[in-house]
Amino acid sequence: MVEKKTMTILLHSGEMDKAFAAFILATGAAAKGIQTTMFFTFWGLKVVQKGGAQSAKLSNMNMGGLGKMMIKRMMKKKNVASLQELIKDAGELGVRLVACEMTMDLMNVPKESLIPEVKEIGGVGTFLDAAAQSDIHFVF
Amino acid sequence: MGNDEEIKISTLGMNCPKPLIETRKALNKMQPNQILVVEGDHRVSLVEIPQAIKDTGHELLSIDDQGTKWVIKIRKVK
Repeated sequence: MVEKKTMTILLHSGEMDKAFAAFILATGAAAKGIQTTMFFTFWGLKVVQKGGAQSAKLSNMNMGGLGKMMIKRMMKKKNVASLQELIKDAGELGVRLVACEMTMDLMNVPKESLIPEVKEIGGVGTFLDAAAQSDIHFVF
Repeated sequence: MGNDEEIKISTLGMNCPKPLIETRKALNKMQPNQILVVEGDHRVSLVEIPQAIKDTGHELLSIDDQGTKWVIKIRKVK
């Protein structure tokens, strides 16, 4: 029988390239049967707010949006999935997306502003329960 | 749904990690014993899809590498 592995990802950055790496790992893991939990805190919460993935900037070479435009054009040309598409795939493949309750309170983010793929709101304890049992852990 | 029914998907032109994701999405929607035929041209996926099939406990039936294009056949186990 195949051994079931688990993974946890903490996304605290709101930049497109970091969120992209996080969601590539999450969807890739789901495809390989690795049960994944993602926790969105601080600037990372913006990525799972409606419209947040679209408006995320690059962490480097953003150049007032010009760099991002160029990267987006290159991604399209090379058939690389967009961040929004990967987020949708993560939801469909059963990746567990958890929004940080404290950040929501701090930044006045209502539940209704989150994308439908986020089915859970939790605190540090919720995430640590998953992280304590996980075989793989990433922070972005 | 009958056994041995083949379901075909194309991942032609797709880049990492989409062929892997689309394969998994197709398998999730299938019944046990149905066969999935994945066509693609992303070279790394030719190695990664069979590995993911092994990881998830499905049965790899065949790999046909035609150079630019490849076809992978999988039987859904559970």
